Amino acid sequence: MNERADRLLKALGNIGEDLIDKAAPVYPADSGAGGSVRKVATAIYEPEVKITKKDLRIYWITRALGMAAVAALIVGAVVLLVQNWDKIAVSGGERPGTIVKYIDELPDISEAYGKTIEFSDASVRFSSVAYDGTRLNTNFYLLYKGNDEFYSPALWINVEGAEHGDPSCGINPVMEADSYDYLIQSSVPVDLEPGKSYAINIVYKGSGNRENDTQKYRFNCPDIPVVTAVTTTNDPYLTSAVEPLIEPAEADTFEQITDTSMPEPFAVNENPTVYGGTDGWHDNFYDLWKKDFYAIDERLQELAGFERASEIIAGYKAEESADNEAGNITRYKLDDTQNRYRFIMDAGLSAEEVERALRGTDNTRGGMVDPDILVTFASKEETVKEHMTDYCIAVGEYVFSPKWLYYHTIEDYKAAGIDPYSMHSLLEKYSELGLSEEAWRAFRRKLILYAYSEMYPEKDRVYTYELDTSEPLGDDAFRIFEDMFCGEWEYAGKYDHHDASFDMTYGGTSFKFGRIFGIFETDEIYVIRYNDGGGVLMCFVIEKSSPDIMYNTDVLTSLGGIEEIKLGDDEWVKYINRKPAAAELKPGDLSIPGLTYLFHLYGSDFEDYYRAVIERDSYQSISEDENLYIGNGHILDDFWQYLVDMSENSVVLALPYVHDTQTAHQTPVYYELTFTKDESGEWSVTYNRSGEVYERADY
Amino acid sequence: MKDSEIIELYFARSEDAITETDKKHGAFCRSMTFGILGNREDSEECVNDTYMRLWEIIPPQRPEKFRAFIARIARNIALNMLGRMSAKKRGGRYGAVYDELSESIPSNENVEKRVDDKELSALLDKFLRSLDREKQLIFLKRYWYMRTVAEIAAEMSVIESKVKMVLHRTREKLREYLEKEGVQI
Repeated sequence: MNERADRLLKALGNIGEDLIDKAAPVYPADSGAGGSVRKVATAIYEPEVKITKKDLRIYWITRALGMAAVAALIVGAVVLLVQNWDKIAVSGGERPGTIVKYIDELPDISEAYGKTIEFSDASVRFSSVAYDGTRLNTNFYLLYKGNDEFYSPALWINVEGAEHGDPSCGINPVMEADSYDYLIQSSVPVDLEPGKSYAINIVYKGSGNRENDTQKYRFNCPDIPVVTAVTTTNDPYLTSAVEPLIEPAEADTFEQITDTSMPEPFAVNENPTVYGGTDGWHDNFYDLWKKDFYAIDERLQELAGFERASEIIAGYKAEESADNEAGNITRYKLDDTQNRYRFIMDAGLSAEEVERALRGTDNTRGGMVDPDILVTFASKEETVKEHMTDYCIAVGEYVFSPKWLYYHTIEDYKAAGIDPYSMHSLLEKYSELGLSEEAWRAFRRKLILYAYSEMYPEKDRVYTYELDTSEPLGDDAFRIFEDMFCGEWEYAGKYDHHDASFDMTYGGTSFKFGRIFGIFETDEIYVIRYNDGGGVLMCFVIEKSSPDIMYNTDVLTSLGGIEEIKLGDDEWVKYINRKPAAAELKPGDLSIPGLTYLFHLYGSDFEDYYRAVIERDSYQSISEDENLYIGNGHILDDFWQYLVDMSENSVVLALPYVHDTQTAHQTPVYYELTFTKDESGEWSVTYNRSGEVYERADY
Repeated sequence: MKDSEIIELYFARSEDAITETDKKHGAFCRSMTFGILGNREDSEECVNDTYMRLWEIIPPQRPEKFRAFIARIARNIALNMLGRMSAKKRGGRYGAVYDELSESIPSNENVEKRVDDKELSALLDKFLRSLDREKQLIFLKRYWYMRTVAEIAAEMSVIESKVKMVLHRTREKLREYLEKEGVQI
């Protein structure tokens, strides 16, 4: 006997009991000990239904015909597409002219034309504006509130009074009617003079040029409206060419801690001589500068004279000691913290001296390298950006550390001009700071609220879903949906669109959203996951839809190890907490949420059984007299399933059946399937052809 | 009677425990052991031994999935009985299952480790859970429950050729998986 095969067979015996149980054949209960071995039932669910050879023949022939038809359709579509490529029109409300696929030269279209939308129809809100000496880099939100849907292929930035190159921001999608808030990032080459103010215009072009690596397009849309929005002096933007955002007088107040409600950031280290925290002494939380920039290079000290250098550095240390003693100081400027830049300035060293002493050295010896020298003497903004730690945020020449953010309020963030959108990239990083759980919760909430309240000032409700996982989510996916019946978490590997109030599917590193009641992907719902070593996932739902949508706090355990989801009790949250008992499943349409609710109600045995029945009915006719298979949304124009009745151990569903599985637009025949659970917990089903006309539930 | 109630009979040391067990799970047990052993007498002996074992270990054990618990015990007893038989006497479906499963034994090349039985079971468990539901069930029905291809096709409402194809591909996948894990059996 082959021992290895034997060993494999025996090892199979000790797999999980759930697997063993799942695969167990089903037998009717035996009468007693000593009975003869029974013949196995030929089918688990409907012994009377037999697959005949005729059924199989029909099935395979139909399948082959269907596949041939699909192939023919695809080939035909490709042929049509190729033949008519040039005639394809752009979609959109106001139908524009045709796109020319390829032209040799791009005509110069510098003047906007077409009708103009009133200014109130659209507004521009700048998130950030920065000028790096050659390019104007902006983030702005374009909110369109017009009633006409239009397609505009080109968005331009026009800086009044400046010479600039190609102003195109690129292609924009179809602007849909009524409130479309779209974040646009652009970078346009422009020459700005220092000390001069500029107005920035955002212009939608009715026509324009677009060019990518392989194709050139010219759009000719004479009827497309044009939007012009002009910035105002109240817009918070900052370039090196205009007045600084923060006046020095205001800036001085930022040194003092203003948010005294924050808990201690770190758990008490009982042995302070031991290296603590995820990053040593929590440097990433406190530090403004990268280590090399903080330390004063020996060569610079030598250049300044060691005695003079010692005095200067001693002064820096004294400041730090005083800050530590006071306990309530957070620094944020190049000029009042220890760093190489400040030392060079304080020591009165010239660029030439520094360059002469340090050019050619490499950083492995702790010295400055050429790019460092150039940056240091370029501008404060550049110096800050180049040398601050990865955990800091810069606004012009001001740099804000995690400590600063931690101990200051959202109002301080606003006054400092911190770009709320930059909070996104920091959140994941900040989860690694090693803060205590309480501290991290408080900090995270503040950061997220700032990010979203600033991004969506017009939204009146922000719901937060905060989820602690006991195990890492990894690439597990989950789905949140709220529906008319109840709110649940469910494990789902893919995105499904259905008639819920909102539907969000998250899978691994990406997430998708259902577009329901005007909730759009980029606007309303955001999932932030960070620190996925059994970490926290936070979902924000910014409600813009019907105020009648209720949100439920009850959830199910999903396969991904998610145990519970709680709605935040933040003051932003305005919702009514419904209990599951109040969420009633009424006879009528059985949507996917409703079906999921049934599975929840009747348990996984019911779900397994139901799915097995549906699977079987999809290719095995339920009748010997005629072909009848379960219909689906691919075949049926209106694919409705109905809940007819339900009780403790029974549920009656009306499901559509069709005569073949390939032909579209069939009229279904409804069968009432009565699912019944017996005393032993086993489910069975009976079929009853129904003559009823089913009505949709009245929501 | 519910499984939980039957188990309570064991805890109460009531003889009805065996009667009720046989009533509910006897047919299942017999069919499974018959598939392994190939004859009725041996199958009955195996089932009786299974019940005796249940009586010995419940309590203190309180199985959560009673049917799977019984199945595991019965299967192990049957396989042990088979091991004691001569090759000539070994019949039933075991021979065919045994030969098929031999295809999944990894080759001895590039072997990293010899795993113990527990580790091997854990690997098999992991492999099975990576399969989709249909493949999982077909594989288990064949190599755990020793069902024939025809029986599996009927239970799963699929055609026999599909069962054969699924089994063949899954055996191949198992071999690749064990080879990738560097397992020596």
